[in-house]
Amino acid sequence: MKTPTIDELRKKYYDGDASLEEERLLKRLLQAPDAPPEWKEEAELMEILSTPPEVVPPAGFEHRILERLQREPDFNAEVQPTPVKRFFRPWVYATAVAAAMMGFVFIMQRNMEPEYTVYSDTCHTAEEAKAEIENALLLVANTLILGDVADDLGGPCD
Amino acid sequence: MTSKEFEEKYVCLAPRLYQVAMSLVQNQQDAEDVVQETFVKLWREADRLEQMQNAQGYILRMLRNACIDQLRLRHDETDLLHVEESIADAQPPPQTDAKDRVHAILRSLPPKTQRIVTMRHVAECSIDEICEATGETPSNVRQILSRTRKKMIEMFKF
Repeated sequence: MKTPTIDELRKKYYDGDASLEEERLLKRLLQAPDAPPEWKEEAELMEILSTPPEVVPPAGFEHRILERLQREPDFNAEVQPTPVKRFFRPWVYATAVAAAMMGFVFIMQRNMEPEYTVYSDTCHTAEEAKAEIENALLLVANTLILGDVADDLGGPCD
Repeated sequence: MTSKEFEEKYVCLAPRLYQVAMSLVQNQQDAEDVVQETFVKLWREADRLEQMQNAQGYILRMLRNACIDQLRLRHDETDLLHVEESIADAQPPPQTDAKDRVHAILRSLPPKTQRIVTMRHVAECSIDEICEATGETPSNVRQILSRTRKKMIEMFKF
């Protein structure tokens, strides 16, 4: 049987009439190391067309294959439990850490602020008023270190 | 063959098989089902598989047949009426990488056309097998292959 020439093979290929064997032969001839440079593009296109586009299988794909195989008799390879789908994304963790740090700083600031005591400024009886004044004066006297002034204030007003 | 050996020797091929299945059935769930089914069949023939000279070729053929069965179940929606126009309208995308360019042109074609081209070029299916899987006539399939190849090489050289 006569071997077809490359031109005959090419014509059949582009007309959709080549058999699988003829297509394989054409590919081999186009990709041969001593093939003329003008065949290079056709050879490259045939190679690309015969390569499936790259696709990444979905998460847990191989695990599900093993799970399916486990249902077969005699297949007893250990299958790890299905990994739990990660709910928390990295940004959730980052936000949580930032919030915790802000809360910590807020609490620290509050603890550092001076404490203020609010005194009631209303006296209901004269005795209460006198006692308040004496306490206030005593406080002033102690602060200013005026000696025994505090003792002199002990008696009733003249 | 133990299940552990099977897992180590063959289950690692799963991503590659998924890639081929995806290019043929063009649906994530169907591709995963087809690959799982292929592994179940392989496990049932595991001992025979060990005796084979070209086990990977056998596995690919098994996968290809499973894809054809899957496609036969859904002689789908896509009609070939607009194929001529879509092939004629397809424009070379701006990508510089030849592989990306070819795959982008393929993706721009109707699903059934993509499938016919992929079945022929990636899975090396015969015209009869393509007709069986797509519900098309042999002359339609040849015509699609012819027009797509001519357009592809024209764009590729552009």
